[in-house]
Amino acid sequence: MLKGPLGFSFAKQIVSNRTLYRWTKPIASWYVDLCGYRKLGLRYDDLSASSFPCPSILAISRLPNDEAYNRAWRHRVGMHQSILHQDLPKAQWLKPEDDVRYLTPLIQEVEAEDAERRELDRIEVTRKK
Amino acid sequence: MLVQRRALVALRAHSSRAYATASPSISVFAQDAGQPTSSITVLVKAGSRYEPEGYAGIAHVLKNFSFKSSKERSALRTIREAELYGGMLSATLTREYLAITADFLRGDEGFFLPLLASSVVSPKLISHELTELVWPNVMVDSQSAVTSGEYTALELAHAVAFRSGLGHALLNPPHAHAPAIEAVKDYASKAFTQSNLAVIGSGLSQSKLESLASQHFAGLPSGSSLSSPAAKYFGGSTVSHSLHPTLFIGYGFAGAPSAGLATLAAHLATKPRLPWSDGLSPLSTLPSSVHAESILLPYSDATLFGVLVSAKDSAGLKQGGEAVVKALKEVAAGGIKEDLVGRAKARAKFASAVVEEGKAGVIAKGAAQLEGKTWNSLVDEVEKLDVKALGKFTSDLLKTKPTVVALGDINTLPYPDELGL
Repeated sequence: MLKGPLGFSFAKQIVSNRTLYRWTKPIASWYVDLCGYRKLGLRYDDLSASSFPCPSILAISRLPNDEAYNRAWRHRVGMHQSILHQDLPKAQWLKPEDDVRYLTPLIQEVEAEDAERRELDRIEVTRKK
Repeated sequence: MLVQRRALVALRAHSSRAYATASPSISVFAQDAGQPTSSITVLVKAGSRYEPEGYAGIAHVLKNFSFKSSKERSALRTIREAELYGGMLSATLTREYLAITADFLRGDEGFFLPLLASSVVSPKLISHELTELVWPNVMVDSQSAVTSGEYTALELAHAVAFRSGLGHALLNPPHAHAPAIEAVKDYASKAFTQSNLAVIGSGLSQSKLESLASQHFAGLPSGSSLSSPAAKYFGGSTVSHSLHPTLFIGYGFAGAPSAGLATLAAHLATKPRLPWSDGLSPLSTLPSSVHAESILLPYSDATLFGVLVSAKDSAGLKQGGEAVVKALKEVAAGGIKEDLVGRAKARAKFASAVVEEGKAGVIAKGAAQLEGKTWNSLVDEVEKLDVKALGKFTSDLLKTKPTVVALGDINTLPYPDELGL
């Protein structure tokens, strides 16, 4: 898996290195702004719907009720703005600090469960000596 | 007689048993009769009796949360590893206790006790496990239970006889909604404390179990034991619609089961001890379409005794009910023969001795230790009972208010006064 929130990424290493983080942060912010999803009121995790079939569907079903409702609401607003070919008024843009990864931990949890199941299915049992 | 008693005394002497308490305050009880398999039960005082107000059915949910994810291992890993060891994991719920049990081959306690402990010490109780794994099973339990007239009759009988506490429903009703995970966590945090549970083992030594328990249950908060108001018997009657005509006639007691009650239950028990025989119970003469069976349900501070009658229709129930009342009045009047009393006593003693011998007996003794009581075998007490004492006991019993529950076609169901009560 190369794309999406679970894709190949150096983010961890970059964030842990202060100098590197200071250098890359402006570029990252510029890129996220360019993507434009915040101007439609969406969060980054709202974009990962159908691109990750199994784990993300199970993860979405595990969202708390209010989170699931807000996600659906943001999708509707975003879709409506998309039909109008308009961005939201600037006051309603998603603030960077509100762009929380609310779904990624759940997807990771589901993936870990799948990995554990695969591991247990292929386990080789040896008798204790 | 002497031989029986000697054998029981020998059993009690042979099995290494000890009443002791491991580190801080966990009650540990083990009995080893040298069998090839071992069994450990974590007995938690978390039955439906202790459910807080407004949280009916929470004990049933907690039961189905057994062996789900804990901090040490996931639900899947628990099952797969137990399978590799050839062990059997089970959780059972009664009105008073939640029993989390592992049965395994001798010597595997080093794996199974930490597994049981993790279910109690560090359960994760995750919200999505409730919706994906636990609640569907809770609903299957409930839906299969309500298809039995016997279950519904006993539920109503407990409610009528004891009202709150022991009268709480054992399972969720099939139309219930899943509780919030916070409610489950709250009940679990109150129930899973050192003073509220006992670790009971059969097939392993007391010292072994004590050392393992003190090691793996140390992380449990000491807490206080859950409490419920002392059981009080009320009695009364109720009818309810059902597709399975069932009648319960019984009496409740606040107190441990007595010899008289055990003998009376044995006298009315119809299940034959020999194949192809009807037995000598006064209820054996009923037509084959009417089935009656006596029940005796002991609790820590109360007992419910009665007869369950099932039939095709209300007329059958009435016939069965009248036979039960007639049989009880006959015993009360002292009108039964000496040899029938002898039969009932022998049967009661056998039932009591069988329980004492098996795993159920070990758990009963461990539960008594948890409650701070001593466990008494009924065998010796039943031995002392004679026809006169049984008659006196039964006539006193008949003076108290009966518990009568009738299920079936409401228009035609029999009421207590129509049955001669």
